[in-house]
Amino acid sequence: MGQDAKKAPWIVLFAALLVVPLLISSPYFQDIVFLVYMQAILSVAWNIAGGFAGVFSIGHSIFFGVSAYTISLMSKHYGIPPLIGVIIGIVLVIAVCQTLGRLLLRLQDMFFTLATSAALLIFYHSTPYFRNITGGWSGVSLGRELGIINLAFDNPVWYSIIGAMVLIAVTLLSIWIKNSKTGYYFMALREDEAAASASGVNVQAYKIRALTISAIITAIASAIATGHIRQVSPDFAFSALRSIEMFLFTIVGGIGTVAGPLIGAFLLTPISEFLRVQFGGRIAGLNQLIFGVVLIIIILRLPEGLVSLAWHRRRAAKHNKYVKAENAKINASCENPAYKVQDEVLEKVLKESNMEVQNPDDDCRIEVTQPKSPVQEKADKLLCVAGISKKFGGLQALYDVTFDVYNGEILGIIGPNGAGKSTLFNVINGFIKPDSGTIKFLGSPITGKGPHKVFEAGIGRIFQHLKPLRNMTIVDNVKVGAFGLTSDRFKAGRLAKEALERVGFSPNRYNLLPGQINVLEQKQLELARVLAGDPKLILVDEIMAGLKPEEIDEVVEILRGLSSQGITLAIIEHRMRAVMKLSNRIMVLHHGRKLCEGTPADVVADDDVVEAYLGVTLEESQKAAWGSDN
Amino acid sequence: MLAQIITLAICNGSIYALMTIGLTLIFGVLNIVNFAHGEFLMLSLFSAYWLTTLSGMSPYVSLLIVVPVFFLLGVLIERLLIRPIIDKPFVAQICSTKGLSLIMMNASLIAWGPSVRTVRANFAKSVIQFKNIYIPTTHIVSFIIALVALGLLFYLLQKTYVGKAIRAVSQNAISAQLAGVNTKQIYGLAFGIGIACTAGAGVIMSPIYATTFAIGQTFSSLAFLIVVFGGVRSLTGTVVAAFIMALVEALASFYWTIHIKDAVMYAVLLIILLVRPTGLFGSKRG
Repeated sequence: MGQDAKKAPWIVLFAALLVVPLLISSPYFQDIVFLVYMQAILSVAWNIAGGFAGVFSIGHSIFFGVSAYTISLMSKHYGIPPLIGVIIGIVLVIAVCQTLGRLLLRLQDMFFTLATSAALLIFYHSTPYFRNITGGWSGVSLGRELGIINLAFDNPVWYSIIGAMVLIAVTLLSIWIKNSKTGYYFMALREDEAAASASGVNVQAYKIRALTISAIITAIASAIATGHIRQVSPDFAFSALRSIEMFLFTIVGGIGTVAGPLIGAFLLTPISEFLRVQFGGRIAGLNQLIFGVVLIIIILRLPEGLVSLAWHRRRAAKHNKYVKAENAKINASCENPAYKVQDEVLEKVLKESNMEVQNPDDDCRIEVTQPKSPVQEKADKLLCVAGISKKFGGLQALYDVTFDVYNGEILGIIGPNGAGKSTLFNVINGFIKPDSGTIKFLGSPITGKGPHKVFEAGIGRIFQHLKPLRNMTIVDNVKVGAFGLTSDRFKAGRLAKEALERVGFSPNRYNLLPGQINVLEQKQLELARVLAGDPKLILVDEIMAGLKPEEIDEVVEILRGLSSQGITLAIIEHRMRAVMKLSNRIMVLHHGRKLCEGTPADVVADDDVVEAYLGVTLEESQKAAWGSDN
Repeated sequence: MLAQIITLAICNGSIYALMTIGLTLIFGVLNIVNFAHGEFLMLSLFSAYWLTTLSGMSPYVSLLIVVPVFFLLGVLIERLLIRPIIDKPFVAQICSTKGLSLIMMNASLIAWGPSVRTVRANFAKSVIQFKNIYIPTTHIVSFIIALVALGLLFYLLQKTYVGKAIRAVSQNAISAQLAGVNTKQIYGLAFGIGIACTAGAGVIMSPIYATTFAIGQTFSSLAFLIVVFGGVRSLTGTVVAAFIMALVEALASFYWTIHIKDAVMYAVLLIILLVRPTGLFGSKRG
């Protein structure tokens, strides 16, 4: 739908990029066109790491410089033609990128950013130190022989044409990445690393991948610029200003969008060049000062960049349409049976509230239907947890916890606050390495494997504190989970919609952002994202928290539905009635130890459990316990 | 000779500690990395330069003017530029403080040009001799002032109500607020104190280092290196790291060459990060 209409402006832009250099005869303006193309390529490159994946480097000139120096030094010392040097340069840049990435990505995001700028300074200061090789501060020059093999052309228009072709290629690459599995994984890890890794994203590997793609493009741009300028010095190669411009242009245009870096570079490069020429001699630094002001104004007033000006209009139009549709629905709601049901529920609640007024938060609405399916006698073990212990400093969070989850069952895990329930999930999920013990899933060990591996093995996770990917639409959120199964984006889209249907998410709200939906829908969204990856077991952590009684009914129905479709569930829950009705078996944790395990009836009657919850034994508390529970 | 190098390194370490501790404090309390940190240092060096050149006062006396003024400047900048970006994604934080850094650096270039300036303290050339160790008097005075300033800062943070409130906010802003701390006020105060420390360091550095518009960049990266080395949120870690880095710097310059000292210092940092990804005194915090 509208694919051609979407493509048209790009085709026009690409044609213009190729034609404009041919129309310009003035060498000065030709240079500016070339500069604009270079800055645009660099900004697009930066945006792939910094914008899509949130790998925010301000040391990208490292990659530019390594490529430039490789080309010129290879040519000078070994007589290797620059065109071959480009390839060697790219290989070296990849090596530098892998090394830096592995070392620096261990740091928190802000300190990663700092470290990249520090790393750039090392390159900048140490290059001239090896004067014999690098030619010191004045640098190395490239030969003047013409020919593509030397990256040398007599007519400067060729540089612009090559620049245009590369720019078109990287823009297409950027569009492709944005819609591909890789792009979705980049955006997912940018939004929330824990959620991303629990949805199958190998966070570290994808961060390095983003950095590498970005670095390779930077290296190619550097090769063209080196061919054009033919003199490589530390100030040209490892320029701190270029690193700043790369992210500045992107942010002004619109970070994380395809068009943003292009808009930023097309707009700001000529302005910057004009300021430099006009005031460079008399007022050095004026252009950078103005950059500083622009940066602050944009980030305070228009944090999504110039691109968002266009969106706001489009979004406003969409929103108006949406509001109209909703209003129409509300008007028609007298006829809508769903609303009738809601009214009935409301009446019922009002009636019952007279009787139960002493305990308004009680989950009385769970009384519903369906005898629970008995645990199959010969059910096979899906998950075997054996002897898991974990200490945090002096706190024994888990002590020798052993239990099994059987295929097809619903296992309820209960226990007072701080009993170690969420820690147990974090250990199974791979977020925390246990001090001892083993976890087997489908017979193969998963102990100590990263969350994305655990997801791949078939274990999904719903977090107690919901982790929606805030800047991605509902359906895009779910697609991240679906990309665990397929790399095909259309198939992923289908899987995502199926998953949303399975949890009963209303189809006309697929394109909203997580901030625009209610709590129940957010929980459905988390379930759908996990479901899209086709898990065998889902670890559900307090999904009922913060829901109204009728919403709890709905979630119980959804969970029962999933269970009947063959998905095994392990649920941590404080809503006792819900968990007792839902679970085939219950396990009780207390102070990090397993207190008991059994059918809901057994567990409720267990003395230890009662004592853990009430501080007194069953007999002492019989009245109180049954009184408040029934 | 080695004793001489180490003694000088200890003097430098105290200056680095004072220069860096503001960055740590601001990050710990406001959760913001101040990319303009070095530019505040640069500006304080220039302030000391102009005060000594125009009025003829000793740079050490100019502390009494520069430090309070920079405290107020810090409070003002926090109100105007930092407060709107607290709790914003870190892209916004980088842009805002990096923008401030560009403005300050280039405003200085436009106003005072690229030339290198040095502050002359009245005892600039005198040297104190202890056995075969010679230390410039400026280093000794700066060392003492830096230690006193650090002592005051730690006293302020440990013993006074304001200090306790600052530490409370850095632990958990919401809980501090519930306990009756005006967090907004504390953000302003902490930023002001951080900038004041930096300014103090700038002034005592002024007789030792030459001043240019670009000096902020050099010292920014040194300060960041020290902060990360010490374990980003730990003030003690920053002080220890400052002394270690000063030693590494001195030894690298002595045994190798001064041009490679930065690379050696970063190499040391990388080694520490490989062993302890959160730095010397660092702990993980969500």
